Amino acid sequence: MAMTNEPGDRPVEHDPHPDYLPPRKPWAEPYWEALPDGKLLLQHCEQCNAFAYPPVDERCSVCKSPTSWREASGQARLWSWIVFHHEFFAGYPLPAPYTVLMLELAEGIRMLATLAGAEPADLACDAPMEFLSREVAPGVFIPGFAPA
Amino acid sequence: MADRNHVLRGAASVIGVGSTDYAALRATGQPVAPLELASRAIRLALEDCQLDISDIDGLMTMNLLWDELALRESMQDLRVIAEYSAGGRWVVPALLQATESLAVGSADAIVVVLALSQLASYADSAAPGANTAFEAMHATGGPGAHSALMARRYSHEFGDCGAALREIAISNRSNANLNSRAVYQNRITADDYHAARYIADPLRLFDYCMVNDGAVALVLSRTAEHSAGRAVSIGGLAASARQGTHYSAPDFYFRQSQDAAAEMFAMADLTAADIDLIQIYDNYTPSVLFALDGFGFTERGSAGRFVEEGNITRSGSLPLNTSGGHTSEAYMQGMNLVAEAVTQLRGEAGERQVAGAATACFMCVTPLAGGCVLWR
Ligand SMILES: [Zn+2]
Repeated sequence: MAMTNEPGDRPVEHDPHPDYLPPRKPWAEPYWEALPDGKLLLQHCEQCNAFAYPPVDERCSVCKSPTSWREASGQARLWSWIVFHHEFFAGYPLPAPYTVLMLELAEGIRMLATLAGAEPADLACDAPMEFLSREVAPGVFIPGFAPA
Repeated sequence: MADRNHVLRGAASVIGVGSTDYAALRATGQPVAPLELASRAIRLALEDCQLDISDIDGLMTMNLLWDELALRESMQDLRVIAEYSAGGRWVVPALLQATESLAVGSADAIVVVLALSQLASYADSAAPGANTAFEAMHATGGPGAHSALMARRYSHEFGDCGAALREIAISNRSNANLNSRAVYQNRITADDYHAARYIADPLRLFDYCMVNDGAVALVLSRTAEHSAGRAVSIGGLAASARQGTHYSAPDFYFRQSQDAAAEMFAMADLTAADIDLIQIYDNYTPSVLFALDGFGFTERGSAGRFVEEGNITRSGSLPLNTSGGHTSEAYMQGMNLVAEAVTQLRGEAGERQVAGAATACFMCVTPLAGGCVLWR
């Protein structure tokens, strides 16, 4: 962890892997490395065409064939969303209220993501959404979606 | 299947019930160890059916290590043993295992016991595998958040269910008002409900179960040997699981609920219309709607209107969670709801007694759905 603490300044933490992120696994590195470039990578099974998320280090859950990484279309339909008006998780960088989405990706799987670049008032169930990587702390990117 | 239904229908009965006093435990402010809570509940259940601990030859625990409990209670010669990681979705599978064990003579008297204590930690996010970690990066997670997602979606598909959720919370509290054991006995109004803070918008404080200390123990035995007296029979029961990546399901657990309901009602040889009162695992109020639809008490998507019409209140056509449910009596992960069903069917529910209640149905609707019909 690198930290700068100029006199009179609030400490600014640059933790590339804070506690709220999942443990980094070697087999999920392509996913993490693509987020700062604004890309969403999903594991894809060449055999049966199924996609997987979150990343799994096992074989395809449908047919047990090996998987490879593929850039997602970024297109999704909004299944539902919730708004947290209070902060329940110490150390999480996004202030309340923050919004969590459940999406149905064009690739046929469901995914949780954070609302990016829009307000809850802009949302509607079944509305088209598009992927937007969200930098929640310096150098820390998580998957987000915004109304298309 | 016909054979199996015939063998299991009514074969087992709940002959003893023991519940700790949740209000008194809360009032002391002193957390009690889970084993001590379980011990108290077992003692009460044995007193209730006038058995001795030496009569017990089966033990099923939830949130408890069976061997520690057996040692503490000096339980010897146990012939059937099971240890479930939690109550809730495990209640029906446990009752089914107990029923089968009794029906074929593997055991003669089985204790099913659950304890929850602030002195213990419970790791049960209900999100399988790596998915828990991928929820945390969005500062969300667990069934409570997924229930809120499903509530909004249910409103989108079937019409706004907000008023129905409010009425469930108010009805629960109204029932708890007549239950001296309930943790929260003060009535709430619609204004109170709306004034309470959001936990995960669209759900508010009163939509959520509490966290409290307590224990529930049931003693089960063969109906044939306890047909007289206060025994309440297990008429039919079934569970069905469809695990997905996420706790929330796009169909609100409809398919597994339908499967469990079909098997449960076939075993009991009854239909939903024959049930006098219901006990639904209301970890969060939307679960009530999913269970009503899924188990066929309402036409799919009409559970909200059914609730709004007042059917689930104590004086309604299908009284729900008559002891106050998980939002008002106690969060004993379904076991307090089964205990209340037995109390009602015995006609021992005092001021909150539902007149003429002869059949009851317990339901828990999660990725693993289950239901149990009880009758007197
Ligand atoms: Zn495959």
